Amino acid sequence: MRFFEGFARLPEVTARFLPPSDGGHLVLLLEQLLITFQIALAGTLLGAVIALPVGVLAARNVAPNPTTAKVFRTIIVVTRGIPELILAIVFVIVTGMGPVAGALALAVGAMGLLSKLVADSLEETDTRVQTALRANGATEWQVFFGATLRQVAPAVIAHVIYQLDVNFRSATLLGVVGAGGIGFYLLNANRVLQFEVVTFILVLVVAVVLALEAIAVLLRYIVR
Amino acid sequence: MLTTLVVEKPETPRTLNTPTPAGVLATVIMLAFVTAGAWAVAELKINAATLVRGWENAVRFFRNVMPLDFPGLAELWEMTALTLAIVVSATVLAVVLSLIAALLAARPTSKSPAVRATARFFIVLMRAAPELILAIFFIRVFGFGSMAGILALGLSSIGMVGKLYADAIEDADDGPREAVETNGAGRIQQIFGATLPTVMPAIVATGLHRFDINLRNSVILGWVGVGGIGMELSTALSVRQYDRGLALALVVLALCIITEIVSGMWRSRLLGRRAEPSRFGFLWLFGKMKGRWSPELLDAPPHPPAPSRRGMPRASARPCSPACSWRSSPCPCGPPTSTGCASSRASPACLR
Repeated sequence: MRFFEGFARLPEVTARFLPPSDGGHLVLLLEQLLITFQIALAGTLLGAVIALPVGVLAARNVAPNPTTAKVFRTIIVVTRGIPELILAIVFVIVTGMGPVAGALALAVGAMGLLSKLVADSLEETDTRVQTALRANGATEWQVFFGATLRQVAPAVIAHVIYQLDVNFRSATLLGVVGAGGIGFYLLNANRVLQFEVVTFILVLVVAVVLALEAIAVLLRYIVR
Repeated sequence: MLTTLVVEKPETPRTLNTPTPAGVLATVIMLAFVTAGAWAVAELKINAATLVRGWENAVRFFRNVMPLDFPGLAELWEMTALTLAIVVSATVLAVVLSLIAALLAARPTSKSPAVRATARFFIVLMRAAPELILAIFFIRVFGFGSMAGILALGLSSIGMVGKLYADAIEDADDGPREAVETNGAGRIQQIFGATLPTVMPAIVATGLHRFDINLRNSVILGWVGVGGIGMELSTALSVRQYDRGLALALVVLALCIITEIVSGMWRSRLLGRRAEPSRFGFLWLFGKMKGRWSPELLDAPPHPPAPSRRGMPRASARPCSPACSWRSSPCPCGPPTSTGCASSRASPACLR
């Protein structure tokens, strides 16, 4: 019954969400959007810095021995099992509210996903190229930089940009639990019933996501 | 007789290729990304001092909080059941709606291009809607409670699930449906008699996968007033009951691991070797410990040579590399092409 009453309220509620308005805090919201973007960037960069070596060591055709690959695969699997929200809550409790908690939570999350993608891409490389180099007397390091890394670079770039996109979306949500950024203001706007501000924030976030996706498509088109 | 031999000095061979404009542009974009990342790290003051202070904080904090305050068993069961009920209902809703949308969007089951385009647009639109904002909206419409959570999670799932279903229908062998059509079956008969049985494993597997994701996403909805563990967690944190909050966080973590193992097991049974190992996570570990599965089986590449469509061999059975092969069991990027897969179609599916 309540379900159908709800449908009757639909137009009225929609009217409260529209048109989007900044509620007189445009500068503040843009500032917070920038912080959210910084959280995503920092999370991706820190994550990538950890993920690249971990991913390399987890790829069976690159790791120095099978045990190393297994150990690092296990690390990746365990990291990926933890929801980012839980990480964010733990970091908020530990480092206090603010963007640092969000960036660190995203970095750990990004490490899990990105190192897995990197490892999988490495395992997909054409090993005949590596064999050819090795047959010509290249050392393992030369094989790695000359053949493996060269082959995998476009995929890694695509993964990093994709990760940035994912992290920006997550950063918005993590703000809700106090990890800094625009999510907190989203929650506040909801609490004080300023629904047109909620819509405005949605428009801002979607605009940034679309811009990031455009860059990702452009990059994929370039490095293919 | 002496012949003079003119020896031309050999040109030193280039060891590096001349950089292409595209390569330069890509390098510039990546450099810009690294610079921006470094700037962000500096701007947010993430440095050794912050981390050390954080560590000291953490040690002090964990000493204070250590007897974690787990809620009573009855209370815990109640909130877990509520969360699971919301997530199950949302996933069922998502599967039903996605199936309708996918049947309208897929080429074999929908003959009109206009209907197909509309359905595809609807699916993409749903992907853009974050569940948190949908929840805020539906709470205004239906009041506080589970209904808003179910609708928010269910609708935002359509973006991913609908796309994967539509691709599964298009990638599946169309032969049975054509045979039934030739024998005079109507559209509905074709769908129930041939299309759905063919894609059933993919339907269930994608649904289970989305169940995992929905469970993770449901927690944040507690902050805007959807019941369940998320709400208890947000209440505990807002009144600074960190011992209770951390306990609930652990409960969520355990729940996520359990569902991942269970749904991973079902998916691997349904799809056999086609189930992709990446999302298995804990199942992979579990299998290792049990020693029943060989790591080769679980680690097998997610895309074995696909069954040929209408007797024609596939152009390539290469796994689709861009960004999302980890996300879904059937190739989410549409039919693979010789260059991997159509990358413009690759990203939408991955972004839940």
